[in-house]
Parts: sequence; structure tokens; C-alpha cells
Amino acid sequence: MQHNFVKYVLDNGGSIQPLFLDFKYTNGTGIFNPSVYYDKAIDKLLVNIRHCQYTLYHAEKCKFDSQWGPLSYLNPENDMTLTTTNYLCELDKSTLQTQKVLKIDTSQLDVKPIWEFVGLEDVRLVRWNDTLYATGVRRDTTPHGQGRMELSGIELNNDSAKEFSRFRIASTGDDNSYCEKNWMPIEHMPFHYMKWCNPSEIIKVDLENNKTKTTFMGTYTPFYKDFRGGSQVIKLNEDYSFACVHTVNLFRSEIGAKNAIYRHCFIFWDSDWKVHKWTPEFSFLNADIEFCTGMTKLGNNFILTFGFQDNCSFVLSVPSKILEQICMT
Amino acid sequence: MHDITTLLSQYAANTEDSVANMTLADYYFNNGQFAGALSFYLRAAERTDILDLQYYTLIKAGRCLEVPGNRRHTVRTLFSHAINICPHRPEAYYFMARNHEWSQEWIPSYTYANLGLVLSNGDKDPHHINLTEYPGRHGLLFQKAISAWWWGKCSEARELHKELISKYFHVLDQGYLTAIGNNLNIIYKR
Repeated sequence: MQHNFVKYVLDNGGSIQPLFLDFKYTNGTGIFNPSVYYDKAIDKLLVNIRHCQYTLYHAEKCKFDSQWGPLSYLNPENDMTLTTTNYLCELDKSTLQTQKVLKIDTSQLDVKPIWEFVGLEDVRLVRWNDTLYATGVRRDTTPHGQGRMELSGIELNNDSAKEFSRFRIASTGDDNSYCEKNWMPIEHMPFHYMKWCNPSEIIKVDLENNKTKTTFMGTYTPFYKDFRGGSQVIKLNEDYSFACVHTVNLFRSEIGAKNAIYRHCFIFWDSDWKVHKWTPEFSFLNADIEFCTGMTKLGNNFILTFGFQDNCSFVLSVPSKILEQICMT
Repeated sequence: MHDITTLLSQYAANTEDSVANMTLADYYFNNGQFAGALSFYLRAAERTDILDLQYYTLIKAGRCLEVPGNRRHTVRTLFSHAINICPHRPEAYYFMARNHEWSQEWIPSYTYANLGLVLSNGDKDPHHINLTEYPGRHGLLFQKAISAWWWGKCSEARELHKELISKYFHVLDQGYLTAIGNNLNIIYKR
């Protein structure tokens, strides 16, 4: 499982589908960090797909580096911004194939960006108190790129997905941190996020007063890497909640150029939010850059979505028994 | 042609297999998913010692960036990798010459086209993985002809156009015929 979780899943009754966006939306550049969510209220399997105008060049074995090294973000030569556009897709619940693609219309609430990372990044989907939210980090509202999690309310119709509300979430404490991102929404606890995983820190957002408070702090367990946010936190069963999180190893090639390896873990918490288990690090398809930002329960399966090398995305159906077994062994 | 689910399963069964990476890349490329194709072509190139496969996948990787446009430095890096792997094959010279032509960089365009004609026989070789976008020797000759003109080698440009018509008329498609016709109007008017 460690090197190729997808193979493990396929060998045990799961399935995989690619997520595609038509060339007319992307001009052939990358789609990544997809976030799946089964929205019970409307009985639809949704995926938010992130698109930027770059293509990631990654020569994983450093045999065929670009002129900037093994890992580089290839923006258009006349546009150095990192501009995110989000597409809300509806998947067929049986085949996991994409049925509908809607660009999220943010025009009602957009203001002129004043930093080079533009748009709502790394969205996770969640429905809290009858509103479907896209929640991610925005960094374009200050001249130095301060990042704050935001909650964007989405009105989803047959032929449109429109952002109708936008709330910028203060950080905990005195709200002076530089960048808050990858907070994982806890599906069954409205307006609560898992902010950190080791120690586990749950925070609650007070929308009326724009205050963010820590409501649970676990204990630290020594581990050689940081866990960073990934999917939503969801229920495995009555006894456990869990999430798919990632680790990052940032390093330099022999000539000093940047390089990176991302891996994932599942973390399981008991009903008191005590960490029951985390798994060994694994990859989905053995690429060095992968990122899971979505997980949801659908029937007897858990559906996960992940990006591959920031250039393409996949949806993976995992029989529940696999994850229950991983949790209990 | 396999469906994508089958290709993905084959890839997942052995993610380090260069052919599985290349096959998946071809599917992505043929469906306009160029960023995904780039990742799988690069993986294929780095996971094989077969020069022919490296050559093909690196050129296709370059095309993955060339089609969307506006990343010419990296496109040329990829074509350069290919040239260095198989300097006696013609395709990478052709793609490099054409890329420089699109930027009106006539000197490198001429140079790469000429090197392709001198160092290779210019023909499509059925023993190699087929790069269908490479037209054949006349493609290199055409690139050399137009860059020769704009570099000021006007007599040579006229001779090269004559050679294209006299020797390759039977293989020229409509696009080449139109372009050559337009060029002849220019180079014989002056």
C-alpha cells in the first residue's frame, strides 16, 4: 500500500476514474487539488477542481531537468501571477464520470487583487447548516500575500454555480499569523476545522463576531514530519472520524534547485478526538507530488480525490471495509 | 485503442513501467489534456534506457507545452534533450526549427533545419516510434528554405523552394502547397 495505494484499492474491489476539464477551460494546463463531496441535501456527488494557468514540470529522477531544475512551475511567459479558477463538477454516482462542469462565478464578490496569488486556493467542499461552502485560502487581499481561510457560500443550480457570500476567517489568538491554509472542515461539526493534526487542534469559527477559538487541543506525539491538512474530516463509522493528510519533504537537487516529495497518511480519531492511529506514509500512484483534498462517504464506499503532479486529477472509490480494516489493524 | 479505465489500471499495476506511462500519456495528449500528458511523458522518459522511447517521449513532452503556447524556453529544453539523445534522427531538429520560426528567430531556425538535413537522412523511419506530426525530409527543407530567406540568403531560399517543388511535390499536403505558393510570390517579386 505504501508506494501505490491505488493498486491496493483496485486489487481489493475499488475503482478509479480520471477527472478531465475540456481544453477550452484550461488551454491544456494543469488541473489539481480536487475536492469531492457527496451532498446528501441534493443527492449529488460534487467535485471542485482547481485550475491555474501553469503546468508543473517535474523530472522526478533528475534525468531531464528543465533549465530551472527538476521542479518548476511553468507559467505563461507574460503572466507571473498564480491565478486560481474553480470548477464545480457533478459526477455520476455509479461510474464516477464527470456529467457536468460549472465554473464558479465569483464576480459578485470579487475585488481587485493586490497580490500575485489570486483567487480561492485549495478549496474543500462541505455543507454546513443548509449552505454548500467552498472553503480554502485566499492571499490576494493584502499587499504581502497574507493568507486566511475563507468560507464561500455557493448557490448551485442546474446551469450555474454562483458564490453568494464570502467570509474571511480570522486566525486564532491575535490574528497576526502570515498564512493560514489547509484547515480541514469537519463535516459533522458545522464551522469547526481541524487546524493541526499533531497535536490535534480543533477550532471553531464564530461568524457573527469573526472570532476563531480553539475548542480542542490534543497531545503531541513525536514524529519526524509535520502532518499537513488534506481532505475534509469525516466519520468512518460511529466510533471514529478520519482524514487523509499529507507530508512534505522539501529538498534541493545536487545543483541546488528546489525539489519536493509529497506523501499521505490517514489519521483516525476516536469519539473524544484522541488519535487512534495514523498510517505509514503512502503515495497514491507513486508520483512525487500528489495532493488529496477531498474524501466523502457514498454508499458502501469512500470516495477520494487527489491531484497528480499538479497536472491532472483522479477520483478513487475505496470500499469501506478497506479503510475500516486499516483503522483497526 | 483501450479505454482510459483500462489504461489507468495497467499503469497502476506498474507505475514504473515506461511503456505504461507513455501509453497513458498518449491518451491524455490525444484528448487535449496536455498537462497530464507532460507528467506521464516525463515519467516515461526517466524510466527507460531505450533511447528511442526517451526520444519520442521528450519530443511529445515538448509538444505538450508547445500546443498551449507561451512556454517556449522549456519546449526548447525538451527538444534539446531529444537532440542530445539521438543526434542522428531528424524529428527534434524539425520541431526545434519550427519553434524558432514561430518566434521569427531565423538564424537558429535555419541552423537546426540544416543540422537535421546534414546529420540525419531526414526520412521517417518505420523502425522507430512514429512521431506522426513529423512530415518527413521536406519538412526540414521547408524550414530551412523560409529561414534562409529571412536571414538574407535569398538565392539559397529560391533554390530550396525549387527543390521542394521538383523533388517533393508528390508528398506535399495542401498546407505546404499553399505556404510554398505564397512564399514563391514573395521571393520572386523582389
